[in-house]
Amino acid sequence: MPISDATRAARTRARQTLNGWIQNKLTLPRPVCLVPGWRDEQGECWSHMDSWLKATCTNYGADVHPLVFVAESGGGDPPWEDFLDFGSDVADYVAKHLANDPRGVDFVCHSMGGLDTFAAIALMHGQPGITSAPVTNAHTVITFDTPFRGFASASNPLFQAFVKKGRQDSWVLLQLGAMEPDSKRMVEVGAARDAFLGGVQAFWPRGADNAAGALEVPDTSAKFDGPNTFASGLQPRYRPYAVFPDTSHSGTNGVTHDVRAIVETLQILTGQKT
Amino acid sequence: MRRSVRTRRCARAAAKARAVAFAFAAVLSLAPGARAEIPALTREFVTEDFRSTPDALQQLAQRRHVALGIAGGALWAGDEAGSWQAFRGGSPWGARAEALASYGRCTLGANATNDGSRNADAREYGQRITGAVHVPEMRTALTGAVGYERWHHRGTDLSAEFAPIRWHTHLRTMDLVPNVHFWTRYRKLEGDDKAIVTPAAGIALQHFVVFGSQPVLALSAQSDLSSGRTPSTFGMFQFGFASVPRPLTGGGADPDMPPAPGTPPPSLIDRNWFVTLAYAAPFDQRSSARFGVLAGLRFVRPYGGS
Repeated sequence: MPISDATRAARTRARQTLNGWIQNKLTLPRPVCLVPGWRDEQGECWSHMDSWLKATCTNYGADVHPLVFVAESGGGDPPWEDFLDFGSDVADYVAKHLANDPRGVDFVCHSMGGLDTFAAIALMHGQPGITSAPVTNAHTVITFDTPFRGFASASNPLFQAFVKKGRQDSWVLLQLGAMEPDSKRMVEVGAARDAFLGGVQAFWPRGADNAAGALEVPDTSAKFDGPNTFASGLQPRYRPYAVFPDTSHSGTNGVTHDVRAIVETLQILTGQKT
Repeated sequence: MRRSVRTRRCARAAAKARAVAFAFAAVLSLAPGARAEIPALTREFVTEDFRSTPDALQQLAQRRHVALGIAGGALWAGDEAGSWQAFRGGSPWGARAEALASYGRCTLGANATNDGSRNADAREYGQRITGAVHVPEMRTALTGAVGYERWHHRGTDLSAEFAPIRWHTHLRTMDLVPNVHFWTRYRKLEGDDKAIVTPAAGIALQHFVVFGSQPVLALSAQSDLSSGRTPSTFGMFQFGFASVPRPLTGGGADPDMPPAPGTPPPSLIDRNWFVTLAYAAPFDQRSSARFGVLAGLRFVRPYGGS
């Protein structure tokens, strides 16, 4: 259906809320890492979220960390095989800058960025070539359209051709392959779900409007199968899955650009929504 | 004597049932509020959101907005029964206007349609008042309508849209999940003692990569059934596309970004443009093909609440 009237009205209200917070600013209780998706996304997905954090939060400069992945040489995209390598980067960043922060650290993640964070928390042990210490002080993790169970288009020849068209190296296809639903990495993610949820205080999986149609990341994948697939003692840490109607995974309609999602993220991070 | 008493009781019961049915339809007309109805040539393909999670129900309860849509375009209808040729002479120009107000689950609406000199959308009334209630817990949205058309017919409709079935195609390299929709409409035309029941089914893609729900592709079929009459059935293809809504005024170059100093605040009214294209083809000899393309603007404004 076209973008619904209800969505339009809700977006207008969200703009009002955000503009109100410019006048009555918020304070983040903990440092926040914004973790992008694709290794060469370079934070484009956070253009709106980051700008609103800057405009509405008193401690933006000190406590907001928009992460950008770069090659060890200091420039360009890193030649990493999959989200485990990126997770290692996230873990190293936290160890260097935020590990001693008694407040803990929050993560807001888009797409593969959620898997990077998952890996940083739950998959650092026993991996060949990985020496990073896992993140042990994660507090809140919000993920936007993260394919925790993979996504079928990862092995779609058309999609792969589209991906290759704008990228000059083969690493990106390896990263894509790791997100195929039956890949080895996806099996590892499924097996470590309790280690992940046990390593955070609150997990807020969010999705784009991906219940029907030509989907990017299916609902079941974005919500990590739902709370009942986690150990019962951990399930209270899993917050009810929600989607933002009329959004897509990325682009102009991308869920991380949606003002409703930005309002909710700020409510979660500041404790207004628990 | 006893028999005549029984007959009068039956007649009274039937009259009461009719009164209740009309009262229900009238109440819905006064209270309704949805755009979701059985597919029609001059209407955008719009369906309800049947999610019933606590979050979705809370958002539904908080729904408060008014909307205005206007569109103009060309509408053709063939004059050869059973033919799939829709293009015939005559002025094709037509227009449609729609206004509605939503309050939680209920929506009140009114619309007017000029479907061109060929009366291309003859199944629809020229003017209507509609009312709708949305009950996602029961996977149903009901719309009542009182319709009037000077030269053709007037009557009352009660229609239901049901929650779609998601068809998981289970393709190995693509997550393709079309919606399969079902509708039913009960129509009582003035001067016709027989009702027309129209069941309809459709399959639609309403979400796309990057574009989200801006485009829609739909195939549907519906059949008019009435006691003692031969059914009339047709299929329809619809395509629609709508731009991303923006505030009517203010908000700067990107209203979803923090405003630059001096930027006027974004208007509470948003606007976008849309196009809708439909082609209907008869499945029998009792109707003719029709084609319509409309372009228009839509404005939405929230009110009250938080």
